Amino acid sequence: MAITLKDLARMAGVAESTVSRALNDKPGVSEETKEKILKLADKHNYQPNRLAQGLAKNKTSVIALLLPDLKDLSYPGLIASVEKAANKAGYQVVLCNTAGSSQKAAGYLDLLQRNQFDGAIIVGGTPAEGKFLRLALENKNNMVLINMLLEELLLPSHLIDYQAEGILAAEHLLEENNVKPPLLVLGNEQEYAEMERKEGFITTCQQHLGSSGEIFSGVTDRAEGYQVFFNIVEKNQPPLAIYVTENFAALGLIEAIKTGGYLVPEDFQVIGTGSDFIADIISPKLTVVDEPLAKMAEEATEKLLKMLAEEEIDSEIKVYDPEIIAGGTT
Amino acid sequence: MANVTLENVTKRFDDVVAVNSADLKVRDKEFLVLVGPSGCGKSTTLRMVAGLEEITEGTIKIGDEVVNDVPPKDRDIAMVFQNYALYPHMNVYDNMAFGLKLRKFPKDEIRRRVEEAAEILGIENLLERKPKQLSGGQRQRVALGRAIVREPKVFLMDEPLSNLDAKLRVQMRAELSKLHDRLQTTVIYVTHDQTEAMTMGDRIVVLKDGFIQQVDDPLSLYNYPENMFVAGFIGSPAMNFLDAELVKEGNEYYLEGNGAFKLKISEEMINNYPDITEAAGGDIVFGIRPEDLSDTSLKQDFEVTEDNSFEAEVEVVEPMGSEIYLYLATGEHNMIARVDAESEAEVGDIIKLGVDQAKMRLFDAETEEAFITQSD
Repeated sequence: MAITLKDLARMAGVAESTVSRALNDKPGVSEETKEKILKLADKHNYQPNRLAQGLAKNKTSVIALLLPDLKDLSYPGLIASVEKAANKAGYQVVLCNTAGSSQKAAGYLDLLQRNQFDGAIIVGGTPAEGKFLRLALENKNNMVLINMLLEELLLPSHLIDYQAEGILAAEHLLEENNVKPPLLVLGNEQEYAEMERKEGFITTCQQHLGSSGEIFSGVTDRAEGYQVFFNIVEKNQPPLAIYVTENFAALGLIEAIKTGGYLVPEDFQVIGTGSDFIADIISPKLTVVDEPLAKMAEEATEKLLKMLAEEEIDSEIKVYDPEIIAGGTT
Repeated sequence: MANVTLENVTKRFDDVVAVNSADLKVRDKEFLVLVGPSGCGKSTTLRMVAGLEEITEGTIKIGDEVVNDVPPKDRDIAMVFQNYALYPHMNVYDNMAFGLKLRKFPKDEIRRRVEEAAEILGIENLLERKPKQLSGGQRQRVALGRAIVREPKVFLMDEPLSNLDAKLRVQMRAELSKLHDRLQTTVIYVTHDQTEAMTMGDRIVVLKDGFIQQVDDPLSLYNYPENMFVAGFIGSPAMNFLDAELVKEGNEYYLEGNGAFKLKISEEMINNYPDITEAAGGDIVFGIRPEDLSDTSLKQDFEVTEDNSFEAEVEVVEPMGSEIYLYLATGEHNMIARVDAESEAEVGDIIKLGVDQAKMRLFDAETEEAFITQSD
């Protein structure tokens, strides 16, 4: 059984408050008594009770990680990264799934406001709702945003430059194949990230070729990716380079290419998004525009922890550039 | 097109009353400024209009619609705060457009709105630039542009200029006023800075401790403050308040400053504000703005007599260029006079100060309410 503050007080023959003052190096206790208590604490390997400490300091040593959904394949890496950085500093992480609902998000933010969490990392792309702004205006310095844009206020934010992803993908494909516009296969075109990738990709194609190629959108899974190939291969001069923003779709597409008797990358070049396990299992390994999510999550967490410790932070907004990780598909 | 109406609006945080039964009608297309010291309830009032703060009692209407339970995003408002985020990887166009993109506006509509806002703000030629290539004023305009593209019924601004340096703040003040003329939209603007309030507001609401003190146009507020708080808050340097006794001699009334001064109250003033006479024989507060005290050694607009002047010692001289601030004392009274730059008064001099009788203001020593108010 772990030794408590009470036990130490009994052993030293002093009041509990005296033990607390001695352990916390506060005035109001003689050097002699202090030394005696510290020796006892050391001898019995006394560890302070985090919960009791939290109650006294109004701290929980827990941070919340709000995610807009749990389907995104990049999130497990992000979560692990946040947790690692938080644990290192003695914080626990609670996962909160807002499922894209502002009401659910408001519920979790309520807990933050009531000090059930010390801070929160908020991931998502939707415009901020009232609850969120209200909390931000309290200037408690306990929120960091990941991939979330705010119109009204400045909060510490870590962002991926999605437009740069589209630009990189286009440039990479045009390096090898610079006459015919490459094909763009998008997921949900209504999502901000997809809009930005599309804009970067199309603008770059137009700059290089004077025109942009065909676009398929709403292609999010393997079957839909598979189908895309049959739509293009019927054409006279199908595009030979393809940028796919969802790796599941890329998986289907490459299966279809191979089924059709063609080779990747000799006949068709494909570039995907994010180095996740799908990119790994595709053969040859998928070339991707990689988002440094793990690094971003780690740095966002470190920033939050700095803020909670009331330390200075160097920059409010940090933008992460994507990079091409070459596999065998281009 | 939108009026904003607050009817009997109260906000309590636990036991603290932040806003106390506020009644306010913001007119369509008006630039209304809420001003007061920190903790007066101005930001809370704005946030209740925005929907960021629930109201404890009362009703808020935007246009004809009661919005008590309408979430912020559906209130047709746009908010501008001092701390806004310009995203470094996006150009000016995208920094203004992303809110509309996130709300899934059609591309053409986004382009129309951003271009229109850019033109209004005079930043059409900056749309391709990144934030780091912009000056402070240009950045501020982009932040305003982000609000303008939403084409809201009402703009709510909470100290949007307080992060800027003094020079830029003066420039942006004028720009915001011009912008309001062009936009023809209702603006509710919160500031703690009375100069900002005076220079920008069509009307000003002065708040203190959660209570609305006075709602008026800038000049009325300056010339006819309804109480000592408003009188002291509006104007810089602030109005001088001198404790006095109201003495009746025959049919005439005098302010007697414990031996330090004796000033006659004009008959006209007594006739217009007969309530003053009720204070006779008792305490009264004499209020006079620094510019209404003059150095009588210089030429005056009025005839200097024993009844409208008194002597005081110069303690500090602050030359401001176009004028001089004199810090003076007589007996127990201290005051500031804003006199012509030609004044040769020096520290230690005893000078004769002239009081423009028409500008004398009188306050009830107990209630601090003004005797002299604007005649309707």
